Amino acid sequence: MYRIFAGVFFKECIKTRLCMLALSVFSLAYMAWIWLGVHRLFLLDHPEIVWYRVMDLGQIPYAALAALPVTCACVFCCCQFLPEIRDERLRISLHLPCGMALLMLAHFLFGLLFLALLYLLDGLLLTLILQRHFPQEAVHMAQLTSLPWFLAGFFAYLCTAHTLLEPQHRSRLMGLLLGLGLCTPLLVKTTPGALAPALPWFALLLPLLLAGLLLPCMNFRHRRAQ
Amino acid sequence: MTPQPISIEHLGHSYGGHTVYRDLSLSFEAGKIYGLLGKNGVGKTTLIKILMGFLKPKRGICRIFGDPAHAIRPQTRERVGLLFERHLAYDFFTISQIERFMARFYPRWKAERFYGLVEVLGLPYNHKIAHMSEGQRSQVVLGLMLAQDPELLILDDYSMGLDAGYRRLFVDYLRENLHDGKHTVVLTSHVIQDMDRFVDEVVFLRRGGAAYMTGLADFMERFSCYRLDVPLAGAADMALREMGMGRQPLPGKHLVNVEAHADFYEFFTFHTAREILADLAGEGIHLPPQALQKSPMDMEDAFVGYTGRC
Amino acid sequence: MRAFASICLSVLSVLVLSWALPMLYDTALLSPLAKTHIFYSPVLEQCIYTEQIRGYDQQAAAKSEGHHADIVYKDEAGQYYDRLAFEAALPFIYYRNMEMRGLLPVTLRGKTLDRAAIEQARRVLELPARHLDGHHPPQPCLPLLESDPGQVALLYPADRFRLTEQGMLFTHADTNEEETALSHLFSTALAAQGFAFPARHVGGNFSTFKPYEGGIFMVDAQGSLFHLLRRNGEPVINKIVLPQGLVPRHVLVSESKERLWLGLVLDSQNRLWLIRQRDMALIGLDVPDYLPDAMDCKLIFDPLYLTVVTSDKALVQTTVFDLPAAERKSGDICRPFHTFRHEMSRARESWQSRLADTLFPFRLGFVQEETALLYPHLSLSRHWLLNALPFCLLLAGLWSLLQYRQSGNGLASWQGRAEAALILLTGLYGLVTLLLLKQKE
Repeated sequence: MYRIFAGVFFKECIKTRLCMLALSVFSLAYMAWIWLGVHRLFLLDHPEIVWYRVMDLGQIPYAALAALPVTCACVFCCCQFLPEIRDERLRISLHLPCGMALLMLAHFLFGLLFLALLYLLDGLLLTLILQRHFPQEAVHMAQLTSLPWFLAGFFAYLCTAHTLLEPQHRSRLMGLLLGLGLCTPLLVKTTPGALAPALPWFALLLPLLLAGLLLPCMNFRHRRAQ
Repeated sequence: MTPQPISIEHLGHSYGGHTVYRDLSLSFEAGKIYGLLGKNGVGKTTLIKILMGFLKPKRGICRIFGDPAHAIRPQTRERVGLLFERHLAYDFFTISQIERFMARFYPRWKAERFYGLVEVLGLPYNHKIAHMSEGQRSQVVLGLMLAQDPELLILDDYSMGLDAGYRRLFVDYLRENLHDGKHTVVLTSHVIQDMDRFVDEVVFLRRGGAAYMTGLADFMERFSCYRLDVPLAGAADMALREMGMGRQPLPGKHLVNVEAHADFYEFFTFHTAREILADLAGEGIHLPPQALQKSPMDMEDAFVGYTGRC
Repeated sequence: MRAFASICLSVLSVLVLSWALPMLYDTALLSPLAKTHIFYSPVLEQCIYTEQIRGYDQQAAAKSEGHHADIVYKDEAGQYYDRLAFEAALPFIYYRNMEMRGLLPVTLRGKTLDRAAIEQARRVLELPARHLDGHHPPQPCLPLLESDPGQVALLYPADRFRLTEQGMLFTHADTNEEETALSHLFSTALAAQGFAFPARHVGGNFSTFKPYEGGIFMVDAQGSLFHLLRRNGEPVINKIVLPQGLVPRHVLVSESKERLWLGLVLDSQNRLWLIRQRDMALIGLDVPDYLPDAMDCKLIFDPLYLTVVTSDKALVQTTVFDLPAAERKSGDICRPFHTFRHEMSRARESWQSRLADTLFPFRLGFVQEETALLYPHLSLSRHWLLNALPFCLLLAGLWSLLQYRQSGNGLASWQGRAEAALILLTGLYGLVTLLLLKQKE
């Protein structure tokens, strides 16, 4: 198993390193923009009024972050799997002497791992940005509020992978349906932190989706059902 | 008993309403090199895809070393080398990176074979595959396949995109390394004349799923072309032209194919001129005994003669 | 492996569709109806209400004179009203319209009441279920307003407090650092009054848009209730004497000009207690069948009565009290003189809701009225056995027939049976899932 993971991770690193770098730089720039937005709030108003707006009225100065994880996930997934889909190069990997399920899981886990690191960076920066200006309760609330957005990023990655790998147009709709259906509730505007109790339930669906992704992989490999 | 490298049993496959194979059964022996021949649309690519395990047949089964091709075990896959059409490779890798990547998966990996082949290109090892010509890439892909040290190699249209020089290099390398009785090779190519340099057996695929497997040397020895100049056809000219344009069935039981040209006809057969003349006479076409002249054929002529021009 | 992966995707697809399809259906056909507005009419001496309905009510349409025919005005006896008659029955609610029409002052129960008297006595306290602790994301860092700001308007403080095991800790907004001196001052004062840290609950009206600052109430770790006021920067602490058996759960603070009632206490036995401003006495209200975790509660004060309106998703109940007398003792419990229960129009069935209950055997939702937190919850069709199940059976039958015609395998194969079972259990969701998952050959 180590051999498979090491091999696939090596390949994916080489293939996506530019994309990973670009997304990391983009995320840093995006977070810098969010920092500017937060900083500006304190330039325009007294801190206690900003606190009132954020902590009592539920305004979220980091709302722009909601779009970042899903965007990064979709872009990264395209960078990872479009070169495999082009001329069906994935066949090269699928012929390697190892189990298909493990091989494809290694591909997906590489993507999820990179996104997890990227989101960890984003989350860390968000914490640092807010920690400077807000009490710990507001920072904790921001973390709870942004968690669903990061979870939506993981779903977006897996559903994009489904859509790209599935060879039949009709079945690709399943990827789109799942992507929209799983990401929308996580990205919908609610009271800050309101989604926190639902997160464990959503997180339970991740391994289910990961296992379900083997179906488009098998369809890709055999081009025929049954 | 050691399972055969490839065995095809009662294979049936169709797309939509078009039947590619009805009941195809073939068996490939170990240590031989097979050329898969057929005109466009007879199902060569389909058969290669099925052999490679990337298409599951609707009926029947295709076995690779005893495993179903679509559910081949990893340890069996280790014994099979695939060359995809247009020398498909991960072009984001450099020469050394792709070797490093592939080497992890194959316990019997022979890096010296890969680098031996790549040395010929004179490229630095950090040269990216995306920046290579088709010919250079073909050498890299062949090197990867040989380094894998497989017992069975399936090459899908290895000649596509290669100029004469790279084609010759490729074929010579195959012949020198694989024509040792230990490797089984199944290949397709659009350039037929290269095949006679190293193919042992040929499999002719015909529309509707019929297949004919034979030794190449035997085929070339037994398969003949007889030429009839138009002036000698006399009154039979019209009837012969119809045959040459694809009229079926052909008269008698000895003719394989008749091709009509502007100034001559070609009769392809595994039999003698006398038997052809008798078949034609049975249709009311009476030709003088010396009218049919044996014409020499190379591999491509024989292929076209057997499968027809269109 | 294929079967396992298909099952995983099918489960996900069914879950997603059971959320998305009913939501789209509701958006297209089932606009949500607000809760019924119900009041006690001092004129009719019975309850009267207005609500939006789905469908057509002939008498309501006749009263509406062709305008807003979906709004019904009725009393508890079932008599219909038009809008003007409805307003006339509620002079304490529509007193400004009444004044405009020259109907004020009004004399009721021997009292003559003009606009000023009504305005003085009228107030509303609202305690929706979603405001209770555990029904919304916690926000434990709160402001403590200065009760004597030295100016007309209240000022928002530059610091906030949190009640931890260590005490009452203040953080200043300018520095985002703890104000140790202030924290020490308040923590010591509270401890001296017997406050056991940390607090279970803090209740207050943390706004500057109010006539005065009435302070905050805190329930300490042992269930005692404390009132804290910040006056000239110093803590003014009052330990409230609680009636026997009262363990406060939630305190609602609402300062008003009349300075009679400061707020409301909800106790652990689901009882409501008014807080009298003058002496912090707690006067109980006997509201039958009140379940605060599932019901919204509204207290409407007027010059004559106190009406408590409690409502869950389907039922609304009014409990009417005479205004508690000023001389009532702390711990006294007021008894209602009138109650009325009504099933709200939003709970009634319509062809849209029946069709939804047929099409969708169950639905997945996240939003619940009684909580601001979003939990996934599955709810079965209200007519599962009679409507949804037969519809699922029909779909499963049609699917099996189609499969039999296409491939000769209806229910003969295990796969065919599994597909039919999926549609039987999940109806449209399973059907759409199979349509998307089934591969064309």
